[in-house]
Amino acid sequence: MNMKNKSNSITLGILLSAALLVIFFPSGKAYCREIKPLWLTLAPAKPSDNAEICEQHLPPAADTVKRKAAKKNGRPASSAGNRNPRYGGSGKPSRFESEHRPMPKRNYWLNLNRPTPGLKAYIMRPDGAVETTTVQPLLAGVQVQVDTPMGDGPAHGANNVYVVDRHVVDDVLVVRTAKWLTIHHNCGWGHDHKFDEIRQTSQANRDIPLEIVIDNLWDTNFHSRVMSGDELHIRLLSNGRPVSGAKLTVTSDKGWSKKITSGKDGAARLQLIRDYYPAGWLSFKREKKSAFKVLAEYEKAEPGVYQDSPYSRVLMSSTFSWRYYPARQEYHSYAWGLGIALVFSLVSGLGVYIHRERRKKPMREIVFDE
Amino acid sequence: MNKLQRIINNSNISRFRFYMQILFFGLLIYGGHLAINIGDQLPTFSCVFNADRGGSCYLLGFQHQMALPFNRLFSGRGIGVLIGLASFVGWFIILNKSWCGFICPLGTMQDWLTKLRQKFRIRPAEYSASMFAGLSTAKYFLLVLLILIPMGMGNSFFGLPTLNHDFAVPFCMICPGRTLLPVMTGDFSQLTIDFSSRTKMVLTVLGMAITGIFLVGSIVKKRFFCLFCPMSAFHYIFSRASLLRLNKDGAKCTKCGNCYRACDVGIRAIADDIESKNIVMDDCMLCLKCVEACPENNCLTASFLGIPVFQSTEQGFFKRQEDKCRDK
Repeated sequence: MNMKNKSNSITLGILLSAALLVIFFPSGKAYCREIKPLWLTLAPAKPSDNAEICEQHLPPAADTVKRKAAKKNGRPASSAGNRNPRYGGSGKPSRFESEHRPMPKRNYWLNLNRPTPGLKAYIMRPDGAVETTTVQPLLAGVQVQVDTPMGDGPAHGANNVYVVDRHVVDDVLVVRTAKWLTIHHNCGWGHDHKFDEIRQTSQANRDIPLEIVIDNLWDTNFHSRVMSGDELHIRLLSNGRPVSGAKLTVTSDKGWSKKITSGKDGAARLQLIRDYYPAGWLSFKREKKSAFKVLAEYEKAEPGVYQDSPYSRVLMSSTFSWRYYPARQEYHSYAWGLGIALVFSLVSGLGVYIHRERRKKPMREIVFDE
Repeated sequence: MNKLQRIINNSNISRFRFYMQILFFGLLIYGGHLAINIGDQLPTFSCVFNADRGGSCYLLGFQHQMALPFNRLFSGRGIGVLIGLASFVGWFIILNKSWCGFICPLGTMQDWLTKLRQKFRIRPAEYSASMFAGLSTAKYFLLVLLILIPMGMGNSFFGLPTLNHDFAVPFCMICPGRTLLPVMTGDFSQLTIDFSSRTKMVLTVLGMAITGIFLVGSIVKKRFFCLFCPMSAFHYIFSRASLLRLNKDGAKCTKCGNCYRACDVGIRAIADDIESKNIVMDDCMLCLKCVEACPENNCLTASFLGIPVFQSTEQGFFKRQEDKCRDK
């Protein structure tokens, strides 16, 4: 009997403790909370993309209007790569921007159903000037519009687009950042002496709460130079200052991912794995673009007030995606190159030697018979 | 003035050329290190594939422009093409074909290989007259191809399908300048076969095969590649408009053949032709060796804007012979 009473009291105690935990420590949820990071993409997100979008807000036949315009003009209508099959495109909206086709206006999409009250978008020009840009809700989702004036002016180079969302949930300030990097360039504006390492580098914006910066994304001819096998030099910054101990997740195109932690100086290095294995030589595409995604998450205890809502902790996330190509070593061979040059050198050298030997005339002694 | 003219006419232009070649080789191959870029429409092989170049060969840009669809080529975009061509012609008419003889880095490399042959005492090769005439047409054939192949990428001829983009810059892919000039800066990345597509593979195999032949050919034959050079053919179209000329006074020519024997390319007409006043041939690289080797007073004259800059003189000829004997 005593034993039964004892077990009942233990059960009651556990239940009471659990109830107290739930009542008095609601912020405990923050530790196991998974915030949905913001992502910027070229096409509206689909529900399958883990977006905060419901089925009824699906885009109307994925940019039908733009595709019609593209058909009419015979050229792609947006910066979203080459969609027109006539120009080698697949006809589907591309995940990649063209690096050599300047656009006066660029549109990016967020994986949101509607804009949140704390949502703001910025663009940082190559010369460091920061401007706010338009965020507008459309049927297909939330669109960020960016002006990139045509011509070889201050917009020529790397333009960083940022979207920052802040809101307080359960005593936690959630700060979500998405970054998109676009090159505004036309080959006609010139290459030589135009490539300014600073203007073409993904620069840090001091107003951004958590920012992913990857160095050396472009080659001096304004083409992306990241290839599988390359080591990514990632820096994580919070308002321009390095962030150590942040969790970084890098995911390749095929879904391979690796988690790393930023070091003391906010730096992290990671080698991109090869994940392109076509069926055969003929199906290999040298120019195949793949995208890797970088997600950074960081949490710190920092009490404060945001829009009259107090919070005790800050949970930050930041995202960035970029393209990469198959490594040059996958399809270039020095052995064959040097071998062929050697064979042709030897054959032509031998040919010259034989030709000269055959043209030698033996000396003939003429003897007069008296 | 006459004294200055005499000093120039008695000078050793080959030695001057040797130093100019070194200077321009340094400028065009390594000039990028000093942030030098003298232009992207140069009428010489300053290879674009060399990242440290101090200027760029016009042929790469020209091939790119030829790949434009006709409706764009003959629209406003064509103005850019014309500006590029005008820049090329502007550079060219100043120095005429001496871009080949004094400036071309690939030509300089061939001259160095010739020096190597002389060190090893290998007998030089010469073409027969008929062979020379036959081979000499190859550069025009290559010039036509380097225009037509890119055009076939942007336009359909006779309803045929357009060529794929791997045919871009077809001449550059087979040019030994692409493979060898970057090597001079320690960049060996062009010495490979590109297996990414059949077209690339064929073009890079051709490029490496031609590189092998170029190395042997340049050792046994002076200026071996110049006979096939489409840039030389391109030059010749505008040669008559050039400010620098090489004139011959046929009445003073004794047909001794010195000029022909001195010619690195082996142009027979320089000795045989006593009718033409302008003696710059399509294969000529205006190295002025013929002027140096001519013993007749004012028979051969290099002039700039009609002003004689270097003339053949008996005194100059014998002085150079004396110097040569003394050096030996």
